Amino acid sequence: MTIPCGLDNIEWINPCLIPPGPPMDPQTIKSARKKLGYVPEYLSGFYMVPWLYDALFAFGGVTPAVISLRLADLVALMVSQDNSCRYCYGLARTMLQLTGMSETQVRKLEQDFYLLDLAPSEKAALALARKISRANPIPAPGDGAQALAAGNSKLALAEIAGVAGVSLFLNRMMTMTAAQPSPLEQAVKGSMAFVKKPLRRILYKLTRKPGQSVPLTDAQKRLPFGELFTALEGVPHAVLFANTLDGMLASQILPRRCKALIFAVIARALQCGAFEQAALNLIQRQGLSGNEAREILDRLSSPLLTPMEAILIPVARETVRGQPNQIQPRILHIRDQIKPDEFVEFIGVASLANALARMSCVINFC
Amino acid sequence: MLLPIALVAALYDRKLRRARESLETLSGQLERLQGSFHRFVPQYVVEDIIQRGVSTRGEQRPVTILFADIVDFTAMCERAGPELVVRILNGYFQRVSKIIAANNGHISKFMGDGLMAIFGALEPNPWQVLDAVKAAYAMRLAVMDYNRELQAQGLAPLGIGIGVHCGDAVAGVIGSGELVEYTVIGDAVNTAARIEKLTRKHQTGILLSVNVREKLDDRFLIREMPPSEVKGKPEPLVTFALDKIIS
Repeated sequence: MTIPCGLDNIEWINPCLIPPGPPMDPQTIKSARKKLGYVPEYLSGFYMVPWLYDALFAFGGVTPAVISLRLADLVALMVSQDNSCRYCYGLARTMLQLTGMSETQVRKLEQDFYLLDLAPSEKAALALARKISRANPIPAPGDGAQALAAGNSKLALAEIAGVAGVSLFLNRMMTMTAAQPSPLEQAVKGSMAFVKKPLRRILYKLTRKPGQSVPLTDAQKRLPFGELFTALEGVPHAVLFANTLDGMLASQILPRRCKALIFAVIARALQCGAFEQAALNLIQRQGLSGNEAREILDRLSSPLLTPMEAILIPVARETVRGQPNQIQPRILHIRDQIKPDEFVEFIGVASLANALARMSCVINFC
Repeated sequence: MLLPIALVAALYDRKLRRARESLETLSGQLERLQGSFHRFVPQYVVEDIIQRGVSTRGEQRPVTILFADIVDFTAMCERAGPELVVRILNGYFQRVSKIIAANNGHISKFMGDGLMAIFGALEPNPWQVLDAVKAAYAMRLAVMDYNRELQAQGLAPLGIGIGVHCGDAVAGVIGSGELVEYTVIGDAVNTAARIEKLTRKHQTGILLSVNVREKLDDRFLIREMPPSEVKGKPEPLVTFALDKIIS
């Protein structure tokens, strides 16, 4: 009997929203196929935005250095389920089955994460990851203190925030992309699953190793939002996010002011004051005064906005709280109003802002 | 000897399997219900109710409240038959519900031909006032559109009155026994309701409070209305009619 699960209830646009990009060279396609197992339809679109293309693989391949792989997989499932990202949620469920859980166990987990036999520190870590993801409101210092009191180290909390942030970034990206379900999901379904599943399980056991942390450079610490990366130092996610932000800021596709405004709007929507101020500082370096920038944030509109900003700023706000059936039509609506590479970069910028703003709480407890 | 044992074991196993399948079906139904409920209630409230049977959390939050109802609805009911009234009402509710959801609001309750919508209750929303006023304006345009359809069918057009106010209110699960709802209560709610009633007196479709007016910019064309005495308020209420929103 087919057991209905949360995946079946998610409304998801088909086909994928990313416009195809120019043809990719055979070497790049081969490399992508090797890493992902297939070449997704959105890949040539992402290839138009190099920093985003690199981030897709970097984020997809990062493993934790401090917390267990199992806990990281649970966080990924929880966050993806909360965000109703069909792509990431399906993949997270599959990963848990490929690393030892049965479909029945995963179903029980989806209904109540706390049914699983977890240590108090792990339960507290999951609770914190959920609060980071929901940001309703952004976790307070007291939430971090509770997780520490349950037996987690500061480094573990930094990594929980990092893992949640990776999921948030990928969830938003894949939702706005309307990425279709990964073929990997078939590895645990169908008549050949009894052969494919154990083979995949062995493969993952051999290839999935704990991550390595690399120290941040001084330049990375001085980046906008550098305080967040410093708070994450000691886990692989610090350099991962710093590199991605650096790449995003250096990209010439969307103007820097536009990107900073997107960050500021998302910070405002999440009521993340410190993050909003950092974004406002960035905006002011692009020529707008503090008052002008605040007026734009208050109204989501202004005669000072360029035509592109006037299109993207209100949509950036819509990426923060909505479910896929609310976000995807809005993304579709702007797709034909701007150039393909601008459209793809917008998706990356909004996804990154959503992740970083939610993670910024870690500054207060790490 | 072994055969009867094997038969009993097989029968027991079959019963167990059926029980498991029923449980899974019910779990699936509960999950779908949770999902639907979650759209109208914060997720943490749903989790509270599932785990403890009740949610006693109440929070003071800044919210924006919109009340709307149909002008002369009672007279319309007397003229038209019950089936027609229900059809017209549902057509109206379908349109305005979509608009409220599209503007980040949610309908807290339907009261006959009226409704109360809340903005900023489920999640923080720094633009809740803008959303509510835009929703009110879009509702008016949608009703004008709906009226063209009604008139084409030889039916009388609808008129609506909308009142919008913002302020602090207590949000939580209110009620007892089997009848509970997630809603907001407080003076801000009463004020919004009073403002909606004033649309009849001022002969205008949309009225906004002073609190709302203060948050709007020059894209919103509004006119100040004369102060009006209302029940329960010591001072006359100053309101503003919304004429147009410039894109």
